[in-house]
Amino acid sequence: MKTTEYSDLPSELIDEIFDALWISSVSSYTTRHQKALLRSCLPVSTDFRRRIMSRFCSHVHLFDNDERCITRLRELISRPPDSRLGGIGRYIKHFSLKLKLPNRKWDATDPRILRRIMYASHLPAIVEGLHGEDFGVTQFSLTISKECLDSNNALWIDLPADFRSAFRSLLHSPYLTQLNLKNLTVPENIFSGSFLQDLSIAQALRHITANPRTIQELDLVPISLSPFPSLVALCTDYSHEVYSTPLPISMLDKLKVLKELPNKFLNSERTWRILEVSASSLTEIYIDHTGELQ
Amino acid sequence: MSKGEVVKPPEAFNLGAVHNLKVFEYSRRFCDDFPFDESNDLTPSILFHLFHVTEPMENLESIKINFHLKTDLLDNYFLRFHPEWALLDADLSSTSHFPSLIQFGIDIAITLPYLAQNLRQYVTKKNSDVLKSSFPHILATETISFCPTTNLLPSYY
Repeated sequence: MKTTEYSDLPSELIDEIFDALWISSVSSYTTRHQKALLRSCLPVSTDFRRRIMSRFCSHVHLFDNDERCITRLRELISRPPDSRLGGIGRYIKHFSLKLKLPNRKWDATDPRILRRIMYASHLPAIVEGLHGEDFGVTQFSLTISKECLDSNNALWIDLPADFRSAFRSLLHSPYLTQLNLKNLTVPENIFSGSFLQDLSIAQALRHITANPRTIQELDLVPISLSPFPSLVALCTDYSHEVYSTPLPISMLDKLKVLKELPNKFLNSERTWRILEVSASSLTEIYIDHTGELQ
Repeated sequence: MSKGEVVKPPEAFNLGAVHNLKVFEYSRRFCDDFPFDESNDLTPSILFHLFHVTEPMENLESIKINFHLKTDLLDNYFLRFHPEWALLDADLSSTSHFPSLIQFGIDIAITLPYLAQNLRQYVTKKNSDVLKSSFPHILATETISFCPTTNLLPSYY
């Protein structure tokens, strides 16, 4: 096909063709020929490369702390200094990171376990590579595996400073609209300036307000403005209880509260409060008002 | 407050304040740590309070209520007629207050212990009968689809 003919095709039609090519290449019955066909598209043009890479890299999941994978991803995510081609960071739309213990020899009771796991890691650079001036991930998920935790859940300050800095920077990306956090308690003021529309927080540390030292460590500060001016969907368990005041959400469209009341210290007052505050905007409410099933 | 106890909504608040609400789903889970005690269960009372509105909820299309029951006590597999179900039935079947309501569902998921497997049909039918008799007005309203379901889940104990 001549380049002029290709450029005359509607973009939607070209997308359809690449979608079909992509789907055929990820099937479990993919032949070597089909894989080769996909690979052969990469050097054809920057447009071909962009269309292939945006499909190939749209979802990236890092689940096992495998340093080889992390190092390789670090090499690929940003533009190599000697290359005209960009890194793959601009093609990643959904990024999931689950921090686990590398092996059973690691001591989960060590209060600095997360810093040890992430010591000299490339993870901060990877997170930095997920957004730029004209691109960025739309969804970011961070899960601290239960095995990394002794009794309490991880606190924001348990993470290395360079990772916290990269994460804060990512939160200010206008492209990032969906954030999922599990087993990590973060100060609510880090959300200020974000463009989040969809927030999921689960299994955050309980009873945080009962412990002044923990509050100090978390750097919880009173905020006068809503940190979630654009939030339309909140999915949480009892985690919104950790904050000293109800999350100031005024334009929430969708609320999911799951598995509340895991013990006698928690109650649903905050849920009713969110409903009151967001009454003018909510269209969908899902409440699992209950104790946990064991 | 005892373990697992639910806090009722504030007296002055009900869903009438949520003018744009389209979908509402409310779930309760019970197990031996949080046993289902219908005589003290606040679910009917909370739902009646939430939907006892003075202004029409013009956009509300779907209400779904889920019960998850898991216990070894046979008596705790059954819902019984509760006076506040009847009050909720009267409110929700009012087309002037809920003109867009087209779906009202109550799903009961029960994990039966192995020894109670022979009661499967009985448990399913009795719960279905209780719920249908608790909401006669909704059942008779043609514009609202009401089909209570009981799902029996396998027990692995």
